[in-house]
Amino acid sequence: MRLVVDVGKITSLDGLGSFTRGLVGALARSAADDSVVLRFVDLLGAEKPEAVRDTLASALGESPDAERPSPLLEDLEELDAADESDDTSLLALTWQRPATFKGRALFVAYDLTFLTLPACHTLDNRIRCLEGCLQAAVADDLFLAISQTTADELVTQIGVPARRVEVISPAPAAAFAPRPGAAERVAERYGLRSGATDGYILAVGSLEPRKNLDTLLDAHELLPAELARRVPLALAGGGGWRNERLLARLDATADAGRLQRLGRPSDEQLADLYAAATLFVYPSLAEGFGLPLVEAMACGCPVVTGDRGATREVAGDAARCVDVTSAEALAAALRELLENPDARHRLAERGHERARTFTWTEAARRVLDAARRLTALD
Amino acid sequence: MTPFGLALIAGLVAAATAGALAAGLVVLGRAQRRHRRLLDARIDELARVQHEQALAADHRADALGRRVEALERLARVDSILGLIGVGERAGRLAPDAARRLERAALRLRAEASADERAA
Repeated sequence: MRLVVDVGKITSLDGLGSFTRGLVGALARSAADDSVVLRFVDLLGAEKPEAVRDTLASALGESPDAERPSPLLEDLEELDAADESDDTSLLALTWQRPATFKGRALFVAYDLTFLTLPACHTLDNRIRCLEGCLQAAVADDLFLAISQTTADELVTQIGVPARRVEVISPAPAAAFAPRPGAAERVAERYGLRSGATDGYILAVGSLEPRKNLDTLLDAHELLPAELARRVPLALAGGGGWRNERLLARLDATADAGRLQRLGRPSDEQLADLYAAATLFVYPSLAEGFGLPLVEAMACGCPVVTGDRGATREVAGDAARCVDVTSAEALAAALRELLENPDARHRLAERGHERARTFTWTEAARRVLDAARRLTALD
Repeated sequence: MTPFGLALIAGLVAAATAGALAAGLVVLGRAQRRHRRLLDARIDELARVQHEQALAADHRADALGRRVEALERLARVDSILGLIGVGERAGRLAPDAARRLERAALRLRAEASADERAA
């Protein structure tokens, strides 16, 4: 069995990029010497091979200037006809399956919100994702869904037979763990306090409608003024689309002293931010998995999130799950937890245990099993 | 004529010649400056026309780019509709799922067509 991994989007700053980095690192550690091969597939011609190589080296845990780079890096080439042999499967991680590729593929589906919440996506994104899914379905690929929620939607929305879908859950990167000294580093870098009577509510995500940040701003405005002043919002993330009004509102909220924009922190900085936060709130309307939930849990931060779909599935009983379409419900959950340190502590403990159930080693094992199964199927 | 008279006449002739030469140079300078101003104005006019033509070419290129993108979207939606048909015939998509996907694809097509008309 030979697994060819498409690493063309490994440099992306979004969930797709972090999924690729985590899985490639674990596959390199888990797989037999020559069973995993990395390939650079760039259908849009937008990626820089040098940046891909540097990011890969980091994901594989080695210096890009190492005298003897990993064989995986040495063999990094573009996908070619030799990768279509009978014992080979392509791991398609970028929503795209090269139209000319005639071999078998494991097609990773992150979420189906391009069908279930079309208003939250750009037209190009909806076309790209639907086209990729249909190419995979027609080619009889094996789908790898990143949650049971996405697996169920592949069956109900695309009509993929359930036997052609497997669940491969992502996991937090190694940086996301309890962080001694995080409060001091966060205070120094961002000026955010993490005391007994004051702190901050952390939110993480790109600035797009699906992340539902408007409702979070509404909920924070519903908190008693004194509580909102003592525990402002802190927002990490950038980019996104359809966000002109949101950007203006974020600026106004920041000017009023109720919000601090943190830009795009590194994994280490973000882990500190989770570890020092009073609460982490993830009000997204729909997710394929919701990796920030388990990142926050892994750092020991209590979590508030949505009560349906993948966020509910991933959070289990280790987060406060509420109707995130209701600012009142979200505000009530925030207030209850902000005023109750014991409840936050219990939630943080359960979250930490929950996060330990997601590991990249397990994800890599499942991918390799799926590749063996796919090879045996035909 | 005394030598003094001759010298006086020579001096007057020289002064008249110098005066005429100076006047000629002044006239020539004025003509050159007028000519330079005309040339500058002509160059400015040509530069303005060139700039406007370049801007118009940029706008045409942008409009063509948008139209090509819009047509590419339409082609990809047509490819999606084709994939749904192939998938259904090959038994890889259930008929009810195929109808639902077809409706989604037709919505994409309507939006892509509106973009193409706007471009």
